[in-house]
Amino acid sequence: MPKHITCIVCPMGCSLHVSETETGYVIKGYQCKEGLMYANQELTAPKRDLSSIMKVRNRINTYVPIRTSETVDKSLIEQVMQAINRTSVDAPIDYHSTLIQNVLGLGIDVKATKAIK
Amino acid sequence: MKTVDLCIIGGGAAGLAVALKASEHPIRICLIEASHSLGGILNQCIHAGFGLSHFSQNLTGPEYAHRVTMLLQDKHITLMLNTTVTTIHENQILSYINESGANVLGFKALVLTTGSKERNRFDINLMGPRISGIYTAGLAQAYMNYYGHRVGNKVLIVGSGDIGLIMARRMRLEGADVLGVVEMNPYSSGLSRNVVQCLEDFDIPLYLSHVVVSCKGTSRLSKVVIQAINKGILIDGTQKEIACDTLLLSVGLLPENRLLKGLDIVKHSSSNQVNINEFFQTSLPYVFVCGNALHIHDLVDDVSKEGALAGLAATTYLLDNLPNTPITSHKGEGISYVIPHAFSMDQNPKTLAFRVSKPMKHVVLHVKQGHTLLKETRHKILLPSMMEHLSFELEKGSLEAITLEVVTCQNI
Repeated sequence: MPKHITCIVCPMGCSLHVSETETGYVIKGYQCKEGLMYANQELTAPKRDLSSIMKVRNRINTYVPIRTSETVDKSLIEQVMQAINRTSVDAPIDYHSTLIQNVLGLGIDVKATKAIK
Repeated sequence: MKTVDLCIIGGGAAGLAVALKASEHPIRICLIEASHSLGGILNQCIHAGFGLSHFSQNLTGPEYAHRVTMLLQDKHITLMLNTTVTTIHENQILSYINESGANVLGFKALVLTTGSKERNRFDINLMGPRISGIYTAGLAQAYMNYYGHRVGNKVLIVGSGDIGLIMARRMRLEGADVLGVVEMNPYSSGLSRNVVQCLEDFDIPLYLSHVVVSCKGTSRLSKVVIQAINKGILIDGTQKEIACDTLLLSVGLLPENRLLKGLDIVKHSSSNQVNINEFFQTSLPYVFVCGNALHIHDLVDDVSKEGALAGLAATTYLLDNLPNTPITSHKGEGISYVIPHAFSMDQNPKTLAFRVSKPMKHVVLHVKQGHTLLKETRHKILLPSMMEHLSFELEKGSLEAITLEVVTCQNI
């Protein structure tokens, strides 16, 4: 089935067309090597930065901003979000301290991106 | 009355950069911030994508704020948090208010780094009943990211600026149903990275060339009517009703420069931008403006760079003095604005920041002084959503005005 990918390497935003054959993906429409590399990565293992917030139990109306220590497989983002929303923490929280270690066994940590006194 | 050499109003990315640069010199600096912490809007922008050029790292907003704030530790700067400046008076005195009461502060130079404000429903002529459920995207972002409060369940977004796109993803990740993004122009006004990662990743539709024509509901918003538009004219028979309880507006930012009202400061007539010279100096020589308070930036990295330049200029003004800037600069065909609006005659390379007025490919730009061509540049693509910079050198001895214009381009 043909697929469409918008390249995000540069502002040109080339429209890439992908078709799948027996020997692999055929990518058309790219105008540079980086575009081809981006399309290959998107087709094989798309990953995304994930950031959100986590509830701080012992402070009124307080949430600490968090991010994952590495990019997360696009298909797992909803599950990681659920794990984050199930968790709450107590202040004080140090900058970049680990709030969830090895989330869902992915080898990725969830870290605070701000210190809470 | 307490007096300082340099007073900075606003402790966001711009104000922090000004303070950091100025602290390299033996002057008394005071930084006034209205909220309880430094970093400004960075604190609510919890997503990554900041600092790629300034720190060579992909940071979130709070991380960027943390890094900049750390650089300021142990510097000789008087910090006044939870303090609001109410008036800047003509005689180099300002009034402020904080928990110890109302007071005044004298200064020799002042840098305004008060950021920007969001355009609201009245700025886009969105009429209708005064029902709840209509927010600016940045306000909804503050509720979500500071207080964990999601403002709605079924969300429609107007305007495809970066804040709108980021909020589409954010609301979706927190479990809201995001029904679409409505954009008046035939192109998105956000970065293509955000269109892909915030909309396409979640199959959120982008309605290009569409506007909101009405909002309906009794106490809370219940539906929004959108309609296709072509060159400013609504197309009959294209109305579409979208049932939703929340409308987020991401329809642009305006420089926040209200504090300069009443002072003898020239504003650029068309854009509400303060008129400044290459030293970020206004027509009142002791007042400087930079960051989003001057013009809206896409990247905080550019704000930090600009803040450092303004900090250096304000310090030079205090310790030495700045040269006259008799050479004016103007936008020409295809350009929506240029910054700064005046240059000195010295032979240093000059830089213009600018935006084009519409998306264009294969562009040739000319910087002219009078009729003399100073520089010609070629660009594969230029978009209104991208601030660009261009360096050039002046013609020796000439006092004629500078113009930046698009000479040839292909429409997209």
